[in-house]
Amino acid sequence: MESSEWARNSLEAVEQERAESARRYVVPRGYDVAMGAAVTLLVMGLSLNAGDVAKQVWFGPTIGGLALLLWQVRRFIAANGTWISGLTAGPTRWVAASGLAVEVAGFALAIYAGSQQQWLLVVVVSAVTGAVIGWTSHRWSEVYRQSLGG
Amino acid sequence: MSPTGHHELDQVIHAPARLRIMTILGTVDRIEFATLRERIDVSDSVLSKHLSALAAAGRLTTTKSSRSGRRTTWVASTPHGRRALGQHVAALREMIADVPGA
Repeated sequence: MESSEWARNSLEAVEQERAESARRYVVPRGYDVAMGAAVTLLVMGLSLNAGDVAKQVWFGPTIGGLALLLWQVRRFIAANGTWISGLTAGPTRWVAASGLAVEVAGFALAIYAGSQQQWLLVVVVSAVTGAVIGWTSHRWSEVYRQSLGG
Repeated sequence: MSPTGHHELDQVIHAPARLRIMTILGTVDRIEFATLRERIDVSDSVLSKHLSALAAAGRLTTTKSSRSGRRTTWVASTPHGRRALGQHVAALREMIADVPGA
């Protein structure tokens, strides 16, 4: 076989394998919403903690958020047999980095609001941060599939 | 990359099965051994041999963990492995581009 033909076949195999990765990529039902809800609970829990409220009040959302987050990770791995952090090279990195920046800003603002005991602001920031993370998670999957040629 | 500015084929990931393995690893952070075996469609022992060769050359790592009460082996590309795949694919593209009329 000529080397150029062999090279062409090898490249086709690479493209097919990437497309197959996109085809097999599964988002568990409700995953994005649950990820958003988990972040909302975590932001709320930590800002309540900053507001010096009783342990019983902030402990619930924090543990609930963590449990929901870990459950989603387990569901994702069970569905795909893989783990993808989102911060590896490629166009998905920018989506993940944007989500991370929003999350950090949300946590910072909510914790500040909590420390000032501005509870309405805590609720709003927690909800908005969670919604943005849910949307980012959804968008990340779209970009991931597209980047693989799926 | 060679002194002439061309990318060079990576002899460790040259074989079709190994190229497929590295391509799959390039799309994820890590993958379970069983999922990879299903994708490549080879026996445990054949996949293990490929993984050992790739790991010995620093292209990937394997780690064992426990999930749902059962032992799981995870396979992940190293940064060196990702670079090697990128250079190998670039070399393949150059081979096609160097053909007149391609």
